[in-house]
Amino acid sequence: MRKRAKKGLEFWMFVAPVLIPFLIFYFLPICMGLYYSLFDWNGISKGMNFIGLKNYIELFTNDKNYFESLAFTFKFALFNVVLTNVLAILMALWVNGKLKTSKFTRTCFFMPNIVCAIVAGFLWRFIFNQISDTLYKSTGLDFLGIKWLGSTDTAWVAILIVVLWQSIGYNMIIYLAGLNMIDKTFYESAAIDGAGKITKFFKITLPLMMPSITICLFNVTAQSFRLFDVNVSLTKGGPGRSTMGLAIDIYNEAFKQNRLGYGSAKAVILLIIVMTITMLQTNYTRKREVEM
Amino acid sequence: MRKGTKTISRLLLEIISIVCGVIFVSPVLLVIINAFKPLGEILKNPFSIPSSPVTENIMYVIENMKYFKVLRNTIIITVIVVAGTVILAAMAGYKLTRTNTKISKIITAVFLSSMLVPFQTYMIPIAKLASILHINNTMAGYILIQIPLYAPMGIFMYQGFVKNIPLSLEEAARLDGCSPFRIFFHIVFPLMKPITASIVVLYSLWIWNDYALASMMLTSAENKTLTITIYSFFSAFTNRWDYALAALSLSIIPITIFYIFMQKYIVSGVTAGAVKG
Repeated sequence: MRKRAKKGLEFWMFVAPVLIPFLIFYFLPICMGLYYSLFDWNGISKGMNFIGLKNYIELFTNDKNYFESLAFTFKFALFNVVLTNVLAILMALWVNGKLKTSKFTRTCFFMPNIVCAIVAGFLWRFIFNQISDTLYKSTGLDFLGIKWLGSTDTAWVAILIVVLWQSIGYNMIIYLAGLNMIDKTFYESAAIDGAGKITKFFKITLPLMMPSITICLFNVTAQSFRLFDVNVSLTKGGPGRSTMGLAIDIYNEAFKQNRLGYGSAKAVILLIIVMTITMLQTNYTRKREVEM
Repeated sequence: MRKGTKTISRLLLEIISIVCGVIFVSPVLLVIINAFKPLGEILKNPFSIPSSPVTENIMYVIENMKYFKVLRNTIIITVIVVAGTVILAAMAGYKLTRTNTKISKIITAVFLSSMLVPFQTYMIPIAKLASILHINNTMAGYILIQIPLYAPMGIFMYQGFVKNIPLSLEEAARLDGCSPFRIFFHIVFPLMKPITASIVVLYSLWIWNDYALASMMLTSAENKTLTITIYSFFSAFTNRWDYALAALSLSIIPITIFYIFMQKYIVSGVTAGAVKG
């Protein structure tokens, strides 16, 4: 009995130092957010008017802007998840080859990931404004002459490009690890059976990489809904509200419009969306993992 | 003859590989090249190599944004947050793995799930909480909040590593009458060095680059970090590409040097931190 109590104390001595601040600065704020979302409140005055679910009702019945944000974020997430993963797998296959320069190429592909996302957004403003203009003047290619950041049709693509540029390398590393875990004998026996490169990829590589795919899908999905830094530095949500992601919208609602109650309701919805999607997604991909 | 064509196609592939890599990092290269050119030259031809490199841009930015002061702030914050998070995460990750109880599993799950929750969903209450506790606009407050928010990733990575450390060493030490903390800091923690190295490097990158919490918490000029300084600097010099690009280079160059030397740890850290949902 005393031994058990001692073990319990030991457990808390190791876990509590991080658990307590974690509960204070993570768990408590989430609960506070739920509470704030039921009030009409500007964050400064002491008067918090309890209005029940009215913030949520306004959000879903009377806020066109919010639906635009939802639409943009989902569109962005879809393209980001598909393209990041396809390109990351292709790049992983490329740098996994026997080329002598593979290591150099891998270093280059991952490099954008270490650049601060705020800096990356600014950096690409230079590319989209100055560089693409100069290239257009010398080559005459139409797509270079577009004002990428100035049009509602292309601004979201610009964000997508920057985010892809930064995150492909990260996911490529995870896929590389997955590729190296695959037992080489599978390929040897497939070669004996006369399987070509493409058959080998779809019948061996892809199924056996399912664990890595699960991880990366999960990563990129969560990252898509977290889109904030690049959004802030590249477009600020514009032109108009065409690239107003859910996260930057919460920030603006709370700290620019001073509607903390309403912003909190938006935050709660974002939380629910992210939780639901990641749960559905992991359940789905888990079923497809091949047992080794 | 066939061998010859093979060598040539191999060489071609090597060249393609290098070109792909260089194209991928070319946006960064362009920024750095142009940071050493006067504005007129940037606008005329951003692709040209600086005819005679100028350092005026960089000098102006260093002075104007008090670069060394800001750099000092960023380094102090990064070092403290990384050290704090690594120690706390190592302790918790170790104990959570070694304890097989229901409560331990629940705590692990809570830490894990927090990794997918966007910061913006609890950003408003954090701002409020910081002002209630009177820690808003202080470096200490920023550090205090940053540590528990970054800890879950480290806990997760340590858990994966601790699973592979044999129990026998700890048991022998326990029989010799070593206290739990002694066992941890003298036996287990040194064994975890490889994963600690990766975690330190990855954390350094993330904390160095943090924007959202820093922009909320560190508003006075005294406390600003590099990222938020560059943000306000860039916003103020929208049409002065010479200064703006120099500012960006001052963020990119140090972190790139860090990357080149620490690449090994980054790669193994990303792999170890690959969260299995």
